[in-house]
Parts: sequence; structure tokens; C-alpha cells
Amino acid sequence: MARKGVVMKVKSFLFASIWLAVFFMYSCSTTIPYNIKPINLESSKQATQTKFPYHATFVVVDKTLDYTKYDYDIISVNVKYILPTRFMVLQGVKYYLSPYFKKSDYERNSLELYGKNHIIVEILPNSLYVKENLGFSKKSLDIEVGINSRIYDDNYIVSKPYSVSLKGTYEVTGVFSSFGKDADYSKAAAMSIEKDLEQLGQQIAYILNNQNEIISNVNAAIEKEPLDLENYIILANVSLKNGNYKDAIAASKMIIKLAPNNIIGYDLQARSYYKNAQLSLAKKIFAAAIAQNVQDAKRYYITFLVEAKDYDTAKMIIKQSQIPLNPKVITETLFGVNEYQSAVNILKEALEKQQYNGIGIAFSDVLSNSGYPIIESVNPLSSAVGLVYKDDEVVEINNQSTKNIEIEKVAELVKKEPNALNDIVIKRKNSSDLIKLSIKTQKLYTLDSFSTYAWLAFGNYFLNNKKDFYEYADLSYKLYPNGNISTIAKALVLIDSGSYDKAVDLLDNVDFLAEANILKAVSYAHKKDYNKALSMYKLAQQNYGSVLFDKFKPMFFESVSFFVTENLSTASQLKNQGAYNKALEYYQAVLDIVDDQKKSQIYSNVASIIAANPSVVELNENSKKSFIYAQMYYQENKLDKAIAQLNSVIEKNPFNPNLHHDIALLYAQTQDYKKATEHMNVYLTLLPNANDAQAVKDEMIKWEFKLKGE
Amino acid sequence: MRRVFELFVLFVFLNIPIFAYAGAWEQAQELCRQSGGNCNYNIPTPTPSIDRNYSNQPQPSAPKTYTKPRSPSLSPSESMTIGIFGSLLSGLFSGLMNPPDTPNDDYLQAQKQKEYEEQQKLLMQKKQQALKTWHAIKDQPQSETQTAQQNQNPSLGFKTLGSSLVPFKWQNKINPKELDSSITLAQNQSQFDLNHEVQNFFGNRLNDLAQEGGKDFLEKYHKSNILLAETLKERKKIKGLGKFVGDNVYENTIGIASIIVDYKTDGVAKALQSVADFSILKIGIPQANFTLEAGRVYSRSVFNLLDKTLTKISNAVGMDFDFQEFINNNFNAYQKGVYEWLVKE
Repeated sequence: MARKGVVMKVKSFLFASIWLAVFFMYSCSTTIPYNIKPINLESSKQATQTKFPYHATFVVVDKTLDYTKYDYDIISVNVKYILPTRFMVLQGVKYYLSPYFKKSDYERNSLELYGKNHIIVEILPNSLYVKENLGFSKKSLDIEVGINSRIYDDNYIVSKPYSVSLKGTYEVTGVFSSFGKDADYSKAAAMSIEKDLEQLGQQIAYILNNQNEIISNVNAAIEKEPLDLENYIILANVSLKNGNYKDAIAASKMIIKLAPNNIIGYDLQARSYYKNAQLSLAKKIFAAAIAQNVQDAKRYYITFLVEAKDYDTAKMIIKQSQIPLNPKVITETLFGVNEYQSAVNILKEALEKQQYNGIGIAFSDVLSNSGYPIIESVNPLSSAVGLVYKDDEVVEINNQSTKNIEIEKVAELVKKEPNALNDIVIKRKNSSDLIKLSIKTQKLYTLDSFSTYAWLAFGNYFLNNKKDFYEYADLSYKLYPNGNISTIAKALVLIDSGSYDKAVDLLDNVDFLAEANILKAVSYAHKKDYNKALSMYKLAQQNYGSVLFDKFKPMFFESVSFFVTENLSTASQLKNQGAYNKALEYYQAVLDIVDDQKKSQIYSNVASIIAANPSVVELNENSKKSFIYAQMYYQENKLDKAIAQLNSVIEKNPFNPNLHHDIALLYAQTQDYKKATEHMNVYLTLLPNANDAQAVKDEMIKWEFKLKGE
Repeated sequence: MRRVFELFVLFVFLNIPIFAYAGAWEQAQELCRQSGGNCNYNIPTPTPSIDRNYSNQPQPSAPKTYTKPRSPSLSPSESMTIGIFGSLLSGLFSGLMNPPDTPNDDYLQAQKQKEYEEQQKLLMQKKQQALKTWHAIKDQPQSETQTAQQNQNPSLGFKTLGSSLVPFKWQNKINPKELDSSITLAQNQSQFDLNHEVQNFFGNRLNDLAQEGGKDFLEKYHKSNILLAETLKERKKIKGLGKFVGDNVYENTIGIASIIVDYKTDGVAKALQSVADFSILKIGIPQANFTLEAGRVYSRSVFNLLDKTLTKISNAVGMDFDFQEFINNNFNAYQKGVYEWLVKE
């Protein structure tokens, strides 16, 4: 009994002791936060070679990282390092990644023009590691920032995400040296980002240059993870870009299988059909998605229709569905159906949402060494222009000190009422003098409204409201001269006022856009440099252009009208002289730069030449070869390539009626009845007494019927 | 006093593993870093946020074994500390706290492990099914395209080109549905069938030509087909635009007749070219049940036969013959195109 009692006592004693020890240990454990302050990075000393002649948008995700260094002594004092990454990573991106591209920005603007090769790079800082090495004669601080990154085109992801580890070591040598000041941690963090961020640029370059490798990697990944949607999305998207529509269609079908309620699969499949010259099928895919109530189906369909330039259908669905849409989609649609006034009204509404009351000063995310906010930029449309400058320190706002203030709270010190005067005290860089200023609060628009201004300028240009056109274009360019669309708007003003050389110089900055190329062609034509004008116009046609490109076409036709008249007159004379081949050369030189009515006249004139001497439209050796390739592609079921090949033959031999006949049938097979009808009309104009004229006409009635049915 | 001493001893004793663990933790971290791994245990790698405008959320890969969910309120190091304590003292705790009939955690753990394994099994099945579906989709023909073609007016055929060109009849595309089976068929049936097709295709005439010697052959056919051939020659003169040349012109007999006319009027060299014209033209005309792949093999056979035939004919009439030179000098764009196509592919 006694023995049992002793055992019980020992058990109770042990139990109490253990809990006491555990409690004691954990009650003594404490974690101290340590904020690493972001600092300015040094710009890259080595010039990075621009590798891509187009636009990139870098989206740096705002993320605060932390790392806790645990202390396992009895009385543990843990340190939690905290690093807000965006400021330094964004600077690093500007210095080390942006130079890879002709143009770059750091926020996607919904009304901006980006061109067909635009990419978006998403950068997500995701881990932090800090280590202090306390040696006898050498002390160092290691900081590692982990970054995850993804690349998208304007629609979907184009590669698997990849990670980069940015490592930096800040060292102090000497027996009596010491570190541990705030600046040391900031320097180590800055060094890590400066040192290794260029790796990311090399990765991006590699991915963009090795699309086939991406395809094979993704195919391998699918075999391992066949349920991972992202693999199929990449496969469909990259195959679509590379013109491999069979794989693109297969992958998009699989996406629909795995996620039948996700619009992405339908969208990719429809785009694949469209690129394979099967617009009608693409529409059917969207119709199926809408019928199945797939979320966002109508929104994606409207966006698709705008890209396919079927503005009438897009407008009809916009009206029917009344769903919220990207303002660019609505604007392009309204421009497409020539409803400029409606577009201007919508754009003005959008502009109102970008309005705010303020003094137009933006501050850097970090305070100066003396603890004051630093001016990062001044709104070019504000009255602060000329009074304050970048890098000025703001010491006081309305008699309140700004020392060590949180940046978010600076704006709260500014009076909000319009026309109220604000007393601002500033200190210039490298000067200790204080300058007192009085800046008025005014109605301003955010920096990203430059694109809204530009569209307003274009709307007013087409409405022939010259004053508003000039004003909006000017505001757009002043607000953001680096914008693509603001540059186009400004160039249009220069062309309109006859400054063609200046317009060309300006447009060189955005020569990856079809809109820029056609305006350059207009400028060259006005300068009577028709060769350059024609080659620039051809280049413009190769790039995908927005609705603006189509709307600029009449301007181009007008600018070359003198050249066209001269050529047509010469062609007519040559024809009358019986110099048919020469006459055709003159007709051909202007065929692509006249409007539809003139084009039809040219075909009629050529028809009489063909009737007189059919051999003038025979193909040369190279064209024959291209034609054979078209046949081969057709046999291989590659309709898009067959059409492209045949189009290349037509480009060189625009007056051979049979080529138009054949391509019309190809278009009809892809259910693109609009193009089929266009080409068949050319065939009938060139060969009005064709043996199969009646059969062709009958067939065209069917196409017309199908077109209406759509 | 004795109790206080006991408590002290016990306290020191209990802390030994903690000190030891703290050293192990640092060592483990160092080892991990040296190996280049992610050693930042307190910050798990987050699932990257995907902008829904750009992409869809990927499915994270499943862990290989079931792991018990961690308490969110504790850091990994805290969890580890408690874990070590727990394992050291679990026997003691269970002896002190648990009545003998209380079931321990093992049963629940086993249940969860079983559930996890079932889930993994299900996932594997789903993966296998998905992979099967994917392969089926990849191999599937584009049926919609086929439908589109079938809708075309059959009375409206593709045109041909200029008279000096070889007229080409646009053919219906190969039905991809038949592609796989036909390729296999073509491969399995071996070269014999293909050669047989080639022989049929030429109606054995080229073979005869080769065997009999070109001159005799041409003379023979000249006699029997001269009228037809001359008619053809006249028709060719008045053609103008090649599209008016009917497709039937290139029936075998007329084709051969054309060769004969050329032989009679322009000599052997021209006749050889006509043979080439005629032979290569026929490549473009589809053979029943021929797939694209089989067609290529077939076309190559035609070229090979052509090479041999032309060489034999040339030798028979006392000429040296170089096929490549012949191609360079005599093939028109169409012929070169077909030839290059085959070589290229």
C-alpha cells in the first residue's frame, strides 16, 4: 500500500515538474519583429542588349515577406525579419529586365494599344531568408529573396512558372568592425536583388526564344500530371501562336473535358478555329458555351468578335447581354460600326471615374535619410509643374510636419476642396534651404487616363471635331509621353498639321504597332516618297491592328491618291497601245492602295485585257511553285496554310482569275463566306464570260444565305 | 529542500534533449542550405496567385503519403519541439493520464491513412482516365472541318491554271479518320502492294517502255494513237488559258499519245520530258484508299521508277542520262515543286 502511495506521489511530482518546465520555457519565448527598410537600388552598370522589339508589362506583386530566426535557448528570443519587396523588386525590374524589351511598363492599361507580341511578366516574391555570420575578423549578412515568375501573352500563360533565388551578402571586415545598423540590412537586401535579378531576364529571353522546347516540356508534363489544366492551357496557347492548330484544338478540347464550366477551353478552341480560317466554327463553339451557361461565355465571345473584327455581331451581343466589359472592347466595337459619338460619351464617363482632387504629387515608397517623403513624380497636368520637382523632400504640408510619416497618410494632409490653397514646405536635393510654396488643389486625372484621352482624341478626329481632337491628343501625350496610344495620338496631330518628319520620328518609338506603321506610310506618302509609303503599308498589314488601323486606311488611300491617279492614267494609255503586260504592272502597283470602288474599276479594266490576251496573267516559275505548295497543304488538311500560300500567289498575280476562284472555294470550305464571296466577285469581274459563271453565281447565293444565317 | 533539489535535477534532465535538439536544428538547416534546398521552413512556398483574367488555377501535385494537418497556431519549430517532448514523454503521459480502456490515436491515424490511400487510388484512376481521354482527343480527326467540306457544292470544282502549266485538279483532302488505319495498312501491306499500284497506275506502259526500249515502244504507240495524239496537239494550241483544258485530257492514253507526239515532232529529249510531265502529273491524282503518307511513299516510287525508266530509254537510244540534271534542265515549276516537296519532307 505504502509502496503504491510512493509511486503515486512520484508520478504526480513528475507530471507537475514537466508541465512547469514546458510552461516556463514557452512563456519565456518571445519574437521580436525587425523591419528591413527598402532603399534605392543602384542602376545597372552593364547595358543589356534589347532582344525583343515589342512591349512587355511587368507586374510585380506587392508582397511583404518575413523570416523568423528561432532561438532555442531556454529563454528564446526569436527575430522576425520583415521585408516589403515591391519597391526594390520593381526598381530591379526597371534596371535589369526592362532593357530586354523595346518598351515596357509596370501596370496593364485596359485602353492601351500593345500590338500582337505583347507579353506580361508576373513577378511574385515568395520567400525570404536572413543569416548573420559573426566571425572574428569578418562579419557578414546573407539575404535571399525567392521569386516566382510567370509569362503570359495578352490572353493566356505561355510557360510553366519558374523560380529564381536572389542572393546577396553584405560583408564587414576587421576585428573591430561591427554591423547591425538598419542600413546594413537594407543594403544586403538591395544587393541580393541587384545581383541576381538579371537571371530572370535571361530566363524570359530563353522561354520566348525556345517555344518548341516549351511544347515538348508541357507534353511531357501532361503525361505525368494529366489532370493539370495549366499544361493544356500552355499547350493550346503556344500551339496556337506557332500555327499548330491541330494540337491547339486537341488541348482546348481536353480543357473542356476537364473543366466543362470554364470558358478558357471554349475560348482557346474557338481561337484555334478562327486562326485556321474557320470563323463560323469558332462562333459555333461560343454558341455552345453560351447555351451551356458557361460563366463569362458572352464576355469572352464579345472580346473574340472584336479581335475577329466582326463589330456588327459584337455590338448586337453587347446590346442584348448588357454585361460589364472592358472599355476598350466597347470602344473598338463602336468605332467599328462608326458610332463615334456613342464611343466618345462612354469614354467621357470612363474618364470621370479616373478623376480625383489633389495637388498632383506622387511620393516614393521610401522616406529620405532625414525621414521626409520624397517626390517621385509630378502630374504633368497639375499646377505643381514647375514648382516642385522629382527628388524634392516635402518637409511640411499645411503646417504639419511630415517627418517619419507613413506615405499613405501624406495625401490626407492635402486639402480636398477644389481651388483650396495648400502651404507646402520643400527641401531641394543637395540643399538645406527650405522653400515655401502654395499649391492649389485641383481636379486631376490619374496617370493611366492617358489612354482614355487618346481614344477621345481619335473619336473626335473621326467626328471631325478638330479642336477637341487636338486638345485630347495633347493631354494624352503630356500625361504619358511613353504610352503607345498617346504617341499615336500625338503623331496623328503632327500629320494633321503637316509635320510629317516629326511624326515619323515619333512613330519610330512604337514601330511594333500596325497603327504606327500605317501613319508612317501616310507621312511618307505626303512627302511623295511612295516607295517607302507602300512598303510601310505592307508592313502594317502584316501586323495585327486594332480598329484604328482600319480607320486609318482611308487616310492612307487619300494620301496616295495622286500616285494612284498617275498610275491608272499611265496604265490606261498602255492598255490602249496594246502594251498589256506593262499596263498590268501599273494596275498592280496601285491595287492594294485604293478603296473598294477603285479596285473594282481596275479589275474591270484588266478583264478586257485578259479577254484580248489571256496569256498575260500566266504565272511565273516561283508563283507556280507556291501554288503547288498550296495544293500540297490542302491535301494535308492544312487549310490555313493552303490559303496563306494561295494568298501569297495572289499578291504577286492579282489578276489571275483562277486563283481568286480557287481561294474563294477554300474560304467557303472554311465557312468564311464573306471572303469567299469577295474573291468570287473578283473572279467574275475578271472573267465575266466564264464557263461556270452561272454555277458560281448560284453558289454565291447559297453563301449569302449562310452569311445571313450566321 | 530535497524537493527543490529534485525539481532542479529533473529540470536539467528534461532540458538536455531540448539543447540537443536546438543544435540538431541548426545543423539540419546548415545541411539543407548546403544541399541547395528551400530551408526556410517557416515560410511555406505559397501557391502563386493566378490572375483569373490570364489563366486557370493549376492543380497542386498531391503528396506521396498522408501527413497529418499541422496546427496552424504553431510554427514548425514549435511543433517539432513539442513533438520531441511528446515522443519522449508519451509513455509517461499515457500512463499518467489515460484510463486503460481509452483508445489511442493509432486507430484514427490508421483510418485516415486508409482514407488517404483510397483517395490516392481514386486520383490515380482519374489520372489514367484523363490520359486516355487526352490521347484519344489528340488522335481524333477534326470532324468539324470534315463536315465543312462535305457541305461544298460538288458541281463546283477547283480551277486549273494556265495552258503552259500542268493543269491540276484540286482533290478532296485526305480524311484524317482513315489516316491512322491507312498508314498502318500501307506499312503492313509492304512495298509489294505499293509497287503493284504504281504498275497499275502507269498501265504497265512505262515498264513496257523500259523493257522494250524506248524507240520501239514509241513507234508502236505512235501507230495506234497518232490520230488521237494529233488531235490533242491541235487542242493544246487553241487552249489559251489553261483552265479550259479539261481534266480528262490526262487520261492515260492521251497522256501517252502526247508523249508520242512530242517524240515524233521534237525528238527523244522532248519525249523524255513528256514522260516526266505525264508521270509526275499523275502523282497529284488521288488513288483509291490512298492516304497522305501512303501517297508520299507512292510518289517517291514514281520518281524512282521514272529515273530508272528514263535512264533505260536514254541508254536504248544511245544517250547518257543524269536524272538530277534532267530535273534541273527540264522540270517545270510544278514538277520541281513536287520533287522538292518530296525531298524536303
